[in-house]
Amino acid sequence: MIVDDRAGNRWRAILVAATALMGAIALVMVVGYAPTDRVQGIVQRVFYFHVPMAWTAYLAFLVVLVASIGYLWKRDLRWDAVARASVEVGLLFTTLVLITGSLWGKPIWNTWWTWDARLTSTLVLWFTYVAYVMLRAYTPDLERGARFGAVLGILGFLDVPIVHFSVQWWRGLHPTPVVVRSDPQLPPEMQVTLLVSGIAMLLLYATFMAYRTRLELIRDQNGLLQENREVAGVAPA
Amino acid sequence: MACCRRIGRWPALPPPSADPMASVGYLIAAVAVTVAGLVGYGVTLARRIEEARAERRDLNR
Amino acid sequence: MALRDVTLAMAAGECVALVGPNGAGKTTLLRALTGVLRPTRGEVRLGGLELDRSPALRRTIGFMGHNPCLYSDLTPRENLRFYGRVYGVAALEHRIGVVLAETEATAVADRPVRALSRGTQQRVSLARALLHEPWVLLLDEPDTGLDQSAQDRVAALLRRLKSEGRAVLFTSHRLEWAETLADRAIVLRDGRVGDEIAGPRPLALAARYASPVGTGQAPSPGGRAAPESGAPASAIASQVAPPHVTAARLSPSGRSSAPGILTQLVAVVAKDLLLEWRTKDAVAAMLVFALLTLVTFNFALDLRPEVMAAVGPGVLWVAVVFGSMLGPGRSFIREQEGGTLDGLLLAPLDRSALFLAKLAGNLLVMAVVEAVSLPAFIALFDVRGALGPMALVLVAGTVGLGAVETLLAAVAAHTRAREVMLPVLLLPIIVPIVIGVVQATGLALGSTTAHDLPWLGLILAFDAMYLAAGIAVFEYVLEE
Repeated sequence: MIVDDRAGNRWRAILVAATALMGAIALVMVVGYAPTDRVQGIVQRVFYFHVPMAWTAYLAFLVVLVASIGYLWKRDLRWDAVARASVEVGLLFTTLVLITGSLWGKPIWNTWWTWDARLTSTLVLWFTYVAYVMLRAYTPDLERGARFGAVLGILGFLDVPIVHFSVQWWRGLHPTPVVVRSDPQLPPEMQVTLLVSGIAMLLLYATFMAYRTRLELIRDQNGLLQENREVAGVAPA
Repeated sequence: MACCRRIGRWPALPPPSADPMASVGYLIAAVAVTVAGLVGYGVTLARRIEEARAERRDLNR
Repeated sequence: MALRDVTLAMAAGECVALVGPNGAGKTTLLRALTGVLRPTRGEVRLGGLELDRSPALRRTIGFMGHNPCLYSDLTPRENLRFYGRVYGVAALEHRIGVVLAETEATAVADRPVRALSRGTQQRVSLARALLHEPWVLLLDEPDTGLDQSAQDRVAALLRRLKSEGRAVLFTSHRLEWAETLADRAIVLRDGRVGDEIAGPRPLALAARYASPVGTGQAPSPGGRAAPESGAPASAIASQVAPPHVTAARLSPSGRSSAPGILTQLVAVVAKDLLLEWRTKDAVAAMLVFALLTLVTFNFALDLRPEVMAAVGPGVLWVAVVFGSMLGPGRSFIREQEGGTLDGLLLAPLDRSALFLAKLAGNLLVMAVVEAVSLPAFIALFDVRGALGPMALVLVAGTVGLGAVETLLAAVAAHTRAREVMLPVLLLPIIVPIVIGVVQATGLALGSTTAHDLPWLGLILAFDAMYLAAGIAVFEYVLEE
């Protein structure tokens, strides 16, 4: 008889509370405390959630790398569950980064997209996440899927910085204005708001990860239970 | 090579004298997408966990 | 089907029968003993040495399973020649003649395997297992599909092997046949050792176990695959001690020595090229696809001469990338569908060496395709420029492209989507090299004035990195 994880439930609940609290504070600061940018106007406030989501998207991929190495080393499917969870959450954040970035870019740069190093490598990251999801979906055997996912996780992580570097080098051939913010240095109110927002987003990532990993583990357990029933000759539930 | 000149060129910034609230539509859109995405994900996650737990109860019987 | 707490030991000159109902785990146990299937827990030892740690030890094992591990487009002789080179068999041609005679397959030795009957293929498979004179023979139902006289001949063969001091473990459903051969019998039921029956011979297996063992139908495992990893406890240990055991003397016979890696690499590449030559499987498709891509671009872009220098390199490289994707994929899919991948995994071949061998084969095929595509490109689009540097960039870029493609093709071949999966995995990863080769080719064509070398450096760095990654990671992709 497999019971639920009571201690884990409590930690997860605490995490949710912390996220909600931090999120509320961040929201208040973004709306009320942070000053309006002189050049970009009010749309600049997208910055306060776009940038933290970008950090989180890349952090999620780092977690995928660590979980992938962990799985290949320990061969424990719980590492793989973490990798699977982080890919899904990371894909969510990366998608939101691309969309919000585009919505920010249009009024600022008068274009929905540009092929600079950062955007291009984020787009490649997005495709790598999608490739991972497809790979797992098309590999029916769980253990094999875990190995393949781990290999892709490692290769993909090595690849993203190289993409960034090669695009930057390539674009270096054409002069580009670098100005994104109006002032070269962020005023302290903006810095603090960004920091608070960053912490809130990190907590949100942690919360999603905690629950998503739990979901994978329950599903894996269910899979084993299902198999045992079939082997024992019991009718499927 | 006129066709290739557009690639890689960074578009110009709008003039600083523009109304700061002019771009509020984009801000609202960005916020809406973010909230929909994050909240929507959280909700479906909770639902999926509930379904998995229900399935586990069934299998344990 | 999972195995649980299975421990068995064998000694030289012993013949052991493994019996049990369908689904008991006999095949799984045999495969685990070959080192192809990784047990969740436990280990396999030969003469005290762990099988896992050293691919060279696999030379002492001969395995014959349901899957004959033969390349269907090659003849038995060619198959044996290939395996002989990989296993380092001395006086190969002579030895091939000997095993073909022993398994009575001499008459069909020079016909393609696909033209042979199943029973004959099994005989050739047995020849393959015996070729390198292994100390340990693991045979999965060697009597299946054989008539009475053929069964007698196989039995005589096994007795002779036993008398030579080799250890034989075989499975069978025919208990009467098994008991004439075996010194010992192990009964496997639901993944566990149910019973062990030791001498004196004859073992009277049929009398004692006719009902539970004979034709019992165990429930087939369903649901999600990979029960081995999920199985709670499974410990397997097997000890075989040939006389006077030391690591150095653990070679199959006194005459042959461990094959050099280079010999093995050449053997694999030669085999792949021979197969490609016979079937023309990949080259034709790749070539046509690459040329069609080039032609399609002519209609997709307005390729006037003044635009050509800027756009040309991209056109060439898109054609190369898409054309080349078909090759490595086919190579692995063919191995997997033909069941010969198991044969490669059984062999004393280091996984990293296998990666390099597959890469070399793929690169040679890609070279053929590019040798045609590049002149076609130059001719169709009236391209002028420094052809020497361009060819150099082509070579450098192809190495990196090939390395990533070989690695990912092995991954994709094991998924349900197969060829569709490869572009999805490949294209995000090769972005840097596409940028690099297009820039470098553009420079060779004289479209900009910057220097060539930095881009070549990026390409070579990419090549080195993904070669290293492929070598390091390939064993994880291939293991069972």
